[in-house]
Formats: sequence, C-alpha cells, structure tokens
Amino acid sequence: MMTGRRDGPLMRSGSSSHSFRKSRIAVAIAVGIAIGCVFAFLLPDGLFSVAGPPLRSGRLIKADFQGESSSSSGESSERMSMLKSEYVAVSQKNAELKKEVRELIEKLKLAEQGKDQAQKQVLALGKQQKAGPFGTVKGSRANPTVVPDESVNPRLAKILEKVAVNRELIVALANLNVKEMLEVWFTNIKRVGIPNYLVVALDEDIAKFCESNSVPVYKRDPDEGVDSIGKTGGNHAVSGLKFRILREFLQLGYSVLLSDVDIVYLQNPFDHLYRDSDVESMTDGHDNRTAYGFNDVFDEPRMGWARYAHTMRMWVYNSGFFYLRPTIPSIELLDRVAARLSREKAWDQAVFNEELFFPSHNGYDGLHAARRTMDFYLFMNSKVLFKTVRKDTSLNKIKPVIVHVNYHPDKLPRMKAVVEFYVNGKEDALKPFPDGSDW
Amino acid sequence: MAVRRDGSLMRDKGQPSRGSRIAAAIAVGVLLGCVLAFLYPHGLFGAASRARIASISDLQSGSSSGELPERFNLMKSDIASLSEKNVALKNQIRVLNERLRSAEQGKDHAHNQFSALGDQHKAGPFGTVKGLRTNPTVMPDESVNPRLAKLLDEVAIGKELIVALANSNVREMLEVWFTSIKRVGIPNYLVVALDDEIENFCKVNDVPVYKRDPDQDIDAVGKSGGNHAVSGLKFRILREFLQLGYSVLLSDVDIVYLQNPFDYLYRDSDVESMSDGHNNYTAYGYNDVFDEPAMGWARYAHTMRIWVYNSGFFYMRPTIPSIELLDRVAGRLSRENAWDQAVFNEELFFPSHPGYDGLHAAKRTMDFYLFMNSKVLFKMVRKNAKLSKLKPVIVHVNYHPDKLPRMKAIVEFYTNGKKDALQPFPDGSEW
Repeated sequence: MMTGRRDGPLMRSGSSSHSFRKSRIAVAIAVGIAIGCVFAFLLPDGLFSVAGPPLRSGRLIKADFQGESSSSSGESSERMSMLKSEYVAVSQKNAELKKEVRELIEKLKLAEQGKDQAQKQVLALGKQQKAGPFGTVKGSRANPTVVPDESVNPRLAKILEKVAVNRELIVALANLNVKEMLEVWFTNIKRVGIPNYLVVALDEDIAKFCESNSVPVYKRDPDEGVDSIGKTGGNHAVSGLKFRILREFLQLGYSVLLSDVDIVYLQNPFDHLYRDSDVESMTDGHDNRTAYGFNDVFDEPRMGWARYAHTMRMWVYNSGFFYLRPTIPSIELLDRVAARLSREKAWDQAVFNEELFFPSHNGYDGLHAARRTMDFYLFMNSKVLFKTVRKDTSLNKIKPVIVHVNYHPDKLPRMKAVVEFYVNGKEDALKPFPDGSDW
Repeated sequence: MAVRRDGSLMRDKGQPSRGSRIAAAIAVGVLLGCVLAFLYPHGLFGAASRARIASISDLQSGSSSGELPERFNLMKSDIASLSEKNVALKNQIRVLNERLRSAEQGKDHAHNQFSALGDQHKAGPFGTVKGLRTNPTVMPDESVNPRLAKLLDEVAIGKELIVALANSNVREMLEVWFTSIKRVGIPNYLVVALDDEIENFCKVNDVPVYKRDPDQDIDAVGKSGGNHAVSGLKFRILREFLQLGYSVLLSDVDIVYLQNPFDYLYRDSDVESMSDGHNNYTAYGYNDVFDEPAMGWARYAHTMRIWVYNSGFFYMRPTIPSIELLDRVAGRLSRENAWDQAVFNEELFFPSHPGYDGLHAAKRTMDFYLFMNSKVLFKMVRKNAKLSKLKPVIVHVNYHPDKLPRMKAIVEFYTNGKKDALQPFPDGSEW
C-alpha cells in the first residue's frame, strides 16, 4: 500500500517506486530549468527591457536569424571579430584619454599655482606703477648695473682700480702685428690727456712695448683658446676675441669704451658720452639717414596699389668703437656674440649687429638692449672723412672726437695724415689719399 | 497500482495528484529559470561588457548557428558612443593643454621679471646671463575710464582681448571680420564703434561693442576719416585699455580669422606684431649689404634691414614702454602729416641718436605663415601645393585694395574648402 505524501513533488518517498518518482520529478525540474534557460537565451535583456537598445521581438530575431544564417555566417563572424577588436581599441583609447585628462588637470593646477606665486612675488617688489597721463610716460633705457664681482679676476680688478676714472676706461686689444698703429694710438691719447685707458696685450712683445712707453697694459693669464688667436690672428680673428675678454671688465662693474687701434683721438670721448643705454656705438653710416635709420622704401611695381613696401634700414654699428655699460643686457650681448663666433664662421661686426638689431621671432629670442648711435661727425669713420668732410669747407672745420680709419686698408699712413691735418694744422695732409682704395 | 513508465508528463488517470505534481514541478522549474533570466539578464557570470564579449565569442565559436545582427548593432552603438566620448575627451585635452601652456608662460615671465627686477646681483657665468624682455605691467588704474573698465571685465579673458576700430565705411568688412571670429569661437573681442550706425550694427549682430564718450577731435576723424586717418586714431584710443591693465590684440577689420590667435602668442615682449615681410629675411631681419665699388677694399657696407611691422595687427602688453610707444606715435601724428604705420615702426626701431631719445621696447615678430599678409598669400602660398595646406591663424588683406572680395574668397578657400576660390585674383592689383 502506497501512502502518497502530499507534501510536494520534491519530497522523497521511501521505496524503489520513490526513486522512480524522484527521477521523474528531477526530469520535470530539469525540463523546467531548460525552458527557463531557453528564455534567458532568447531574451537576454530580460523579459522586460531595462537598459540598452529596445528589445527586438522574438519573431523578428527569428526571421533575421533564419534569413542570414545559412549563407553569410563565415563573413559575419569576420565582421563580428572586427567589430569586437574595434570595440576593444576604442575602450582602451577611452581609458587612456581619461587618464591623460586627469594628469593634465593636476599639472594645470600646479602650473597655475606656480604662476600666481611668481606673479605675487613680482608685485611684492613694489615696482609696479600706474602710467602717467599722455606724454609723461618714459620707459627707462639705462638698465641697472650688475653687482661687481671681484672674484672673477682679482688681478685685473686691482689694475682697473688704479687705471679707471669714474669706473670707466678705454680698452684696446693689440698684438705685435699692430705695433706701429698702436703707437699712434696711445701717443694721441696721451696728447689729449686722457688718463683712463688700457691695452690688453695679446703677446709678450706688445706688453713690453707698452711698458717701455708707460702705457697701462694688462696681460691676461695664459689661456689656450684666446692666446693662439691672439698671437697669430689677423685683425678679424683678434676682433672676435674682444667679446670674450671684455666680459670680465663688465663683471667687475666697469664701463668699457672698446677701441680699435686704428683710431686717432682728437678730444676726450668721455666728455661726449650720454651713458643712458646699454650700448653706445659709432656708426658705419655716412649721413643722417644711413647713420640713424631710415625708411628704405622697396618698390615692386607688379603689386600695383601696394607696390611700395616699407622697410627699416640702418648702417651697422662699428664694433671697433663702442661704449658698454656693465649691465645684464650688455653681458648677454657679449656672450651671444662670443658663442656665435665660436660656432659659426662669421664676421664679428655682423654678428654684433644682428644680435643688437633683430627682434625675437620664431625659434629666436632677441636681445633686449638699449642702443644709442654716436654722432657721426664727432665719432667719425674714414668714409665720412675722405668722401665728404675733407672736401667741405664748413665740415672740415669741425674737430671730431675721434677718427676711425675703418673704411681703408692703408691705415697707418692715413692715421698719420689725420694727425697732421687736425693736430698739426697741415691743410693738405689728406690730399694724397683717394676716397676709396684700390685693394 | 500500475505505474506507467512513459514519462513524467503522462497523465495517470488514477493519480491526478502525480500529474499535477509533475506539472507543478515543471512550473517551478520554468519559474526558477525565468527568475534567473530576469535577475541575470546578461548571463549568470561576469559584468556586462565581459558578458557581452563572452556572449559574442560564444556566438563566434558557435558560428555554425550564425550571428545575431542585434548584437552587431548593439556593439556598433557602443563603439559609436565611446568614440563620441573620445572626441569630447580629446577636445578637453586640447583645452587643458592650452591653459597649461598659458599658465607656464605666465609663470616663466613672472620668474624672469622677479629675478631681473629684484635685488641686484652679480652676473652669472658665460652663457647663463639673460636679460629681461618681458617688462612688468603697469598697475591698473580704473579711474581712467570706469565704464570701459566694467565692459572689459565682462568681455576680456585672461585680461586680454581683440580690439578693432570701425566706422560705417567698413561695415561689410566688419561683418566678415566678426563672422569669422564667431565661427572660430573666440569670445574675447570688442569693436570700438566710431559712429552710432556701427554701434547699432554691432548690437543687432550680438557683437561686443564700445562707444566712447564724445570727444571732438577723435569723433571728427572717426566719423568721416578714410582708413589712414582712422588708423591713426587707434594710438590714442588704445591707451586707456593698457592703463586699465589689459593686453590688446589690435586688429584691423580687413582680417579673416581662421584660428584663435591667443593660442599662438608668446606674450614675452612689449609689442608682438605681424610683419609686412614675405620671407625669413624680410620678415625677421637681414644684413642688406650695400655695394659702393668706388670704395674698393671697403666697397661693401653692411646694413641692418627689416620689413615693417604691420600696425593693423599687433599684440601689446600693458607696460610702460608700450604706453610710451602709443604716446609717441599719437604725438607725432598730431604734429606731422605722416602715415601711422611708418611712425609706429620708426619709433620701434630707431635707436637713440643726437637730439633723439629712442624708445626702448622689446619686440617680437609673428610668424609670417601663421599671421599671413595678403602678399604672402597671393604671390606665394596659394601657388604652392604644400604651403596652401597650411592653415594660417589669420589672413590680413593689407596688400590689396579690393579687400572685401578677397576676404570672402579667403573664407571660401580656407573655411569652405573651395580650392579655386583664390584663383580669380591677380597677385597685385591695378589701382
């Protein structure tokens, strides 16, 4: 007799008939779960669509399914795998980009902090000022001088202390090649009565020559690089040296009137300096336009209405006679020129001017130094003298401060003639010389 | 009791309870399955995407059963939305980088200023010395023009903005001008209206505009003056902007904007200006050797030459030298009958000499391919396959009198991609 339990189908019964029933029940459950899984498979987003795209109806899926499965299953799986890798790539990129954004935000925070702090520091200097009314605003051209640093060259510091007057002096570089010109040079300086001048001797002979003539002289400590050029170099090579040598003078806090040796002194230049810029230099120009700058209009007729292009043009500063104040921009100028001359094969006067003249542009930070051009009748170059002044009865009565025989190769004879003309009053001393020169 | 072995679904007459029990068992099983399907719609294992990918790979491996276009489309839309997000992120990165660059710039400049203006110090060793180019700004002085101060407070971004002067003579060009600015998405710009008509025109078109308080001199020139006369006015009008502590990107109206110029400025000088030059020499300066054969040995005289800065597009920082420059130019223009661009450049370039104290202002020349004048465009760039692919920041139609048609053509060429938009125009111009 089988007493059927009514507790539920999952209840076990005791006998073999129980096991039969059990297996039937188990099968029933299995079938139920199987049907449930089929549901899960066919409707993966649940019976009620919650997230994602709208649910396709089962019917539709079935139809597509049936339509495509037969022919394109291979092709589709390829597309599917492409899609899959695209998805992976896009997600990775997404994660990378998010990371980059986070990092940038951090960096930006730090940078802005740094900027604010730095700007506050500048404000705290108390140098900010309001601009005055129209016509009253004047920026400063005379930059502050550097703090003197004796340690760069104590021996030179001692010499300069004795030789300089008002912390400024004339400085010339000379080697044996220019002995005769040097003699004319210092003879005239002495005659005018200028006490503060110094020769930087590039070899022993010149040093001795100066000493025997009571000319203040300074011989540097041996330096391979400088000395090899100094001893044997022609005038251009020696000329380039000055930009390395002068640095120490400025670092010691002295203003330097750099002078070539092919210059005749007729007055004391220190009486004629403005001292309001970083660089105050004589010009290679020969009239107001070329010396002080002019608008050199460039004509291109093809452009029609805009045929005239305006350009700023000026003859170069002569790097054989200039006054440098011991300021940061001046020292920067010397470094720039010296560095370029060590890297390029260039003329020091060209480099000197390019660094002074060209503004900043792409890939180049320009030097910001104040400049003043010396009066070209007072600080006279030899083209002005021989082409213009000597032929003009009013002009040749002006007494220049210096005459620089830069435009001519036969310097010594011309220097002596200049002395004869201006110092000894020989009115035709300059006649024998052509305006230009043959070689 | 005869027990059937056919199957559990077979009804057993004698025991309806068994049948119903079996049915109940099945029902419970189905219910369980449905519940599971409901709770784990993406499968019992793993997160959504993994499950998706898993299910995709399931599909793949079981490709004999074919793919489901529905999964295809799901995947595609996921990819699409992620790609959109990527684009937005890239944009955000670009903006952040710009802001970062700007902050670093400002920080560098402030550091330079601090070390240059602070306590005097010794000069450093060779190669380490760097003078200051970025002069400190003036202290803002709102009292010079409170109305303008308020306006600038709203319009400017980072204390800088584009400023143009316009009267009704240039209305059509102005329209192209501000349309291009708006298209690029530059918010900080202002028109200084020289008459009421232009003021209204700007207001109607949602263009930030400022009309000065009446001033006899300025207004006389402003209303009726031709382009040169109006051009000279800017040097008097801009002064207040600088005094209020704002950097000004002065812009003529014959300029088409293709990118945001503020992303390309160095801001390290008093004046940063576009050039009238057309190559590296003329734009950035060169040694123009002067030959005088009669001089023989010294026949070659060396000269420094540079094409002028265009006074129709320059960026000025609110510093003492900048204000001094404006005053100098304005002063000379009031005394001489001169072209403002010439005076602007002379004051910037000529050093001091006897009887003249030169201005000491730091200068920077803008890249002439990015800040392009129309000679560069029409003579050179448009004919060169590589160069014409470069996108300038601005194009200034300064070298040609027929500005409006050329401006429109430039928009067609660079913005609308019409490759032969520039063809009809000659290099130069007849009149």
